[in-house]
Amino acid sequence: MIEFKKVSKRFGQKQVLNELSFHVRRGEILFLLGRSGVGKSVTLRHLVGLVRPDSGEIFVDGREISGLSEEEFLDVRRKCGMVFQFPALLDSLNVYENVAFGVRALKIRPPSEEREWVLEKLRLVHLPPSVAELMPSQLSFGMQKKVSLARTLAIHPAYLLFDEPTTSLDPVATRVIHELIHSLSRQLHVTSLVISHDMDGALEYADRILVIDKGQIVAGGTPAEMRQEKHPLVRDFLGGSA
Amino acid sequence: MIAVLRNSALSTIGELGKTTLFGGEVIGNLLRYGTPFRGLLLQMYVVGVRSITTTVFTGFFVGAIMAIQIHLQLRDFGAQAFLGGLSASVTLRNVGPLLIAFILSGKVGAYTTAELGTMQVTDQISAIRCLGMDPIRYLVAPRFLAVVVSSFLLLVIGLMTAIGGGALIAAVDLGVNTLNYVQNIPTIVTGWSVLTGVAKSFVFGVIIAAVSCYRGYTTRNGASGVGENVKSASVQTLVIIIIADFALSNWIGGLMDFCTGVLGW
Repeated sequence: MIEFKKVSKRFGQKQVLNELSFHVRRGEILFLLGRSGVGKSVTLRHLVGLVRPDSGEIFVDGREISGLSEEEFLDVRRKCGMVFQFPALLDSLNVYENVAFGVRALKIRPPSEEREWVLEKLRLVHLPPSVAELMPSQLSFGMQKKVSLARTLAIHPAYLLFDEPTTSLDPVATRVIHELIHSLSRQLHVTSLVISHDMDGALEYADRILVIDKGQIVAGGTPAEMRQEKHPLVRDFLGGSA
Repeated sequence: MIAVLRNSALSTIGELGKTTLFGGEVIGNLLRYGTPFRGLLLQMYVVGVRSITTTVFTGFFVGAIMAIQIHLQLRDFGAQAFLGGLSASVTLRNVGPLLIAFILSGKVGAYTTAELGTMQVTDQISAIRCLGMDPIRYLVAPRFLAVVVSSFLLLVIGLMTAIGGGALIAAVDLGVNTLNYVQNIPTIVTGWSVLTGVAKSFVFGVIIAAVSCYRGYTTRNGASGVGENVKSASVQTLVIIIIADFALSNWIGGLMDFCTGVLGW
């Protein structure tokens, strides 16, 4: 389980997170929704140690992680695989090398099993083995997103963290990515925390939805509960998805 | 006005301190873990080999300009026989390393800052951390070392080309016999001149590497941030190189006086 307890974070004069508290249950798909700049991505980055809180506590499987050193964070990063808003593939490496990167760094599989492992992850995101030798620049944006997801799956995480996975994608590609998140979460029994501002996707694919504003959770519940939610921000989001 | 100047000075000193600490961290990382030879060669090819033409071109004209300018002065005293020595000495000791380092900071330094900056703003560096690898070790250290080694080698190549350029222009344009020009060089260019040129070349290489890597690695705010940091890196590198040039000239001059005067070397 992931748990945020009264986590606050300030960048200069801007209070981004303000005693933020919520939890993510094992095995669920949780969508964290909010407008741009309200601290959604910052929340996610706390889980992989890219941002440290000013105060509060963050627990991953019962272990408090906010005070861990860079080396100690390796264990947490093995558990929490992050898929960035932009594919963040290494330009100088081909698709295979990109997917194998974390496998080698974190010693996920012995070298003899690496190729099969990498190609299996590409298959999971519906990419043929032939793309393995291509460079990221030879792929469409949607395919790059899939490679990025395969790279994260390759480190065999217990938690998948998606930072606005459908940004800059057309509606068809958006649906493909949402379905991948849903099917992979169920198939691989991983917990998914999805940062988004897409209420449509959340209502269709989430087990639970939380809405964040001004660094705090302002509403939350199952998709059915969220459809009845009276909070003005939620109504705004629902208006957009109506 | 005074407050603005004070804040600007404090900010510059702060940045200089951060750059130094960052350079120290990278060097510590290199000493602890080394760097893959293949990665180093690749980076040296990217930043070094591709800059050879520019360096040779710049070096040739730096030497040619020095020869012409010094010839104008010497001619008034009928001392053209000293052209080779004086021209090579000035080029080796100061003008050559300085001008060639300026060119390299614009080419090698700007490239490195832009590359690391783009990787930072597109989350490639964050992705590397999330995949369990230290980005300093994987990305910055090989680039840092490649920039230091490449800049040093390019500066040495540039200085040799500059001496050749001076000799060629002296022969073709100034009517100075090439043999006389070359024979005069050792009468003025001493081991200290060479040491000065080599030491400056090495230090300038380290400065280019430290500033460009630090600026690239700490880039924020998207594409505009990359542009801003490339500009800052260029300006900061030039200013630090000039200050370092002043300091090195003084220190090496003092060391030379000590060794020749006190130790009798």
